[in-house]
Amino acid sequence: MALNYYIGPKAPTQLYDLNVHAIRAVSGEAELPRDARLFILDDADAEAALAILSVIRQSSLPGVYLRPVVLVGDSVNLPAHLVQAVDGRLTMGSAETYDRQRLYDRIHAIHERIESLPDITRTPDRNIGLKVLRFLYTRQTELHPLSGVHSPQGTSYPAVDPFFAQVDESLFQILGFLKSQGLLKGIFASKAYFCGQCQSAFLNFMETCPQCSSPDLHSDDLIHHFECGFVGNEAEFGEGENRRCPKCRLGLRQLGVDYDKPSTVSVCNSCGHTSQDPQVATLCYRCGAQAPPEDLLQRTIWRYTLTALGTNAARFGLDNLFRSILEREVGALPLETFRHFLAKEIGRIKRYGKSQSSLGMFAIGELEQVYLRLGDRAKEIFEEISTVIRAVLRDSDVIASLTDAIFLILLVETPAAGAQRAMERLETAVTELLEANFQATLTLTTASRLVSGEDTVDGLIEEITPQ
Amino acid sequence: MNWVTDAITFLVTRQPLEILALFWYFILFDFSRYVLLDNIVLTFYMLNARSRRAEKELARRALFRERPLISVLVPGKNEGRHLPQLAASLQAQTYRHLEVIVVDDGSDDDTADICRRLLRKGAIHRFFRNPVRGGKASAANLALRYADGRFVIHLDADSHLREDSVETIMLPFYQDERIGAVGGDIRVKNVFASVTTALQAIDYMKSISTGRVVSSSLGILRTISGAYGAFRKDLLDRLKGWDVGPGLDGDITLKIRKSGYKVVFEPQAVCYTNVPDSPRKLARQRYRWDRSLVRFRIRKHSDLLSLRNRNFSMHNFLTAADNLFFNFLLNFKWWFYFIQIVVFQTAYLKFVLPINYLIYFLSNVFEYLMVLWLFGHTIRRQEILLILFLPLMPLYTGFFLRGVRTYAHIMELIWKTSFEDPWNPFRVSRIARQREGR
Repeated sequence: MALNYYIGPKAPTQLYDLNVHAIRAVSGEAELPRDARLFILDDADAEAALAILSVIRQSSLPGVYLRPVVLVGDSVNLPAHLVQAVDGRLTMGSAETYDRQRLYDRIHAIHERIESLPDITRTPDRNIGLKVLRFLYTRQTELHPLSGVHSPQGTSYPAVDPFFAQVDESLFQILGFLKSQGLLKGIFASKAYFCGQCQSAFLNFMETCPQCSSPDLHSDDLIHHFECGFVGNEAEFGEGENRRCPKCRLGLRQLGVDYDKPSTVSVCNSCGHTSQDPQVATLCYRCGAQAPPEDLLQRTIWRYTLTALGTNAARFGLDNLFRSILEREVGALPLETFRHFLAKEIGRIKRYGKSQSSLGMFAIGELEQVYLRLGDRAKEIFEEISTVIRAVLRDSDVIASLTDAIFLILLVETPAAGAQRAMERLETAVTELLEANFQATLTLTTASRLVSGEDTVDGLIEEITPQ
Repeated sequence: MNWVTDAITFLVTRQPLEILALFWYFILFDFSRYVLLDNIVLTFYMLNARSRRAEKELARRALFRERPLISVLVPGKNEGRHLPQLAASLQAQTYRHLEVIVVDDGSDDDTADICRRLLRKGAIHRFFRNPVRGGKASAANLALRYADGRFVIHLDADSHLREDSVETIMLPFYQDERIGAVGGDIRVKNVFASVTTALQAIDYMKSISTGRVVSSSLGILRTISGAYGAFRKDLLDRLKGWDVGPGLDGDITLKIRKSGYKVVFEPQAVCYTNVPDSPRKLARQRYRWDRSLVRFRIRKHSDLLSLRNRNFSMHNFLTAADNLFFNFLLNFKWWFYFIQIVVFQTAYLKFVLPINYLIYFLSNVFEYLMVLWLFGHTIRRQEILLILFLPLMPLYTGFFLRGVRTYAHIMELIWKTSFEDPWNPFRVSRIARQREGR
């Protein structure tokens, strides 16, 4: 039976209406209870709470790292990255009963999703990307960035920061990879500049002298006296009511009437150089590197949500289900091998000019819907589609997946008309199969084209692939 | 053929006084001043070439020994497209110790971007931008304020220099330390863009450049062209830069003369500049230039003609008097001559007008040959070809330019229209006019 564990300096047996087991301290994964339902951390020491949270999230066992973690206590001014990293707080606030109930409901929902995952107690998750996906799946929430001094990068994702031994580039790389694979969807949050040397976000932007690079500059307003055309800085005209043009000795009357301030100049207090375009330089507070802004790294900061593919990966693992089924059932080749075959075929046609081979393509639109609607039953559908494909193709044909939803078929010794017929057969068969089993119409696109000796592999694939 | 015979007969049968009565304007004024006097002075000038060469060689050595920083000021509005060529010609100079300061006076095109690009490439050294146009004088004064050189060169942005031009324009300063400013020779860049530009190319060499060699030799040079002139920086600082134009180049020249310094012209320091390519644009430009004679020489610097002026100088007096007599009074007198011929010599009109045209044409040919001699190795092939346009010159100078000049003088004398010229921003012109009223 799963238990609620309090980890902290006290030894309570009851927290509000929860029975708890108390653990004084946890310094490593081995000390974490495997039967926890809920971890409760004392908020009296924020740093200690963060350290324990990191131990929990860095466990490889889904039954541990996915468990909800809440803070208990009434500390004020807790760091935002700690508050956003946990699943909630148990406090003595005025609306405590209502708040607590909402928290319990949330914890319950998390548990339900954890339990829906296969083998959560036995199989460890070594892949940090998969851990992040599973975490987001169980929380059903967006991953929000938080800017602040808690991270050397100036921005982090508090909910998943504890999954990483340290918050550094790897956090951004993993999230970027998951986005590139279509597992996470990025929504623009902001843009930020980072040091080109150490990726720190803590930069001092300063105007410097273009001649000696000193940041010790001051600004002077210039005055143009209309009557005599004299231009000088404000100080030359004197102060207050008695301002006079140093050239013609006439008093200045009114701005815009007899004089104006056409521009401002920056004067270097170090070397005396004057310019209107002081250079902007950045100084990294972390590594001390000084660089012009164009040498900084510019990065888009995203909010992330789980895609249907991501949901599928969270539930069934990171391997692409359809692709792996096709490889197994139809003998689909890795893309690089397919490209190699295609290049050889182009070369053969060019040399002998007798053969007629075609390249076919089929793409399944909204493949995510299959995962979303059918969950683990998607596997069965994919196996059915594979059977249809195997029936349409000949042994001599070569197939590979270009992306998760686009597939290429090299139909050797097949003229254009034959290839078109084959692809139409495939389209009809797969459409009927999906309609019969899925009770919905997915967009299936097919195309074919005769391979010529003048083609290039990239050009041919680009031409036949839908935009 | 009959007309030629008749014309010759007409001339040889006239008494000398009759000839004078019919052609007095040419004989008394144009011939004596612009053909005779000019060419006597030019001949002496050319005969002195050898001794001048020796002096120049000494000056050149002194220049390169001292190697002073020269600030090149380039104020302008919407001139960005010309700047790369100008910057390249400055980088190709035989004298290299230059700082190029560009002031963008309220451009509304891509001038600022071009300047910043040139600044990054090191083709110019300083760049200042006034978001709102203040006028040529204020832009030049802004550049002057931040110039660090011992000498200052003022250049128009749509010009470029011969590769030895900066070196050459500096030499007079090392020949005579009382020289405060040196004018460079302005030649036309777009010579064959149109007939208008070809005629101006002749005019620039024959009248402006040659005229300045003569005035400079006589010590009565009155204008250092704004398109290309070199100045002692300490002198410009003392004068606190240029006053509000139009005509600020002639104005600063007279102020330098009044300060007791000499101003000279250096015909071998060549600068090529674009000139207006249509009669309409040319008329507008000359209208602006010609009004400055009234505004500055008659009004602002009339003290040059006053014998009671405690800083009276005979050279300055002659400078102003020559200018007023030949360019202002005789301009009106020419119309008087023209009317006199047309009204009172009707019977001889068919001879007098063509003969006048012929003698002006011949004097143009003679003067142009002098030009080719004077400018020697700096003459380009296309400038020799300009001889073909010489037959049009009497029309161009005699009627077109004179017409514009007369109109400009009248408008400025009566209505002071230079204060309404869009060449300056309205707010600047308004204040300048109020000052004139005081």
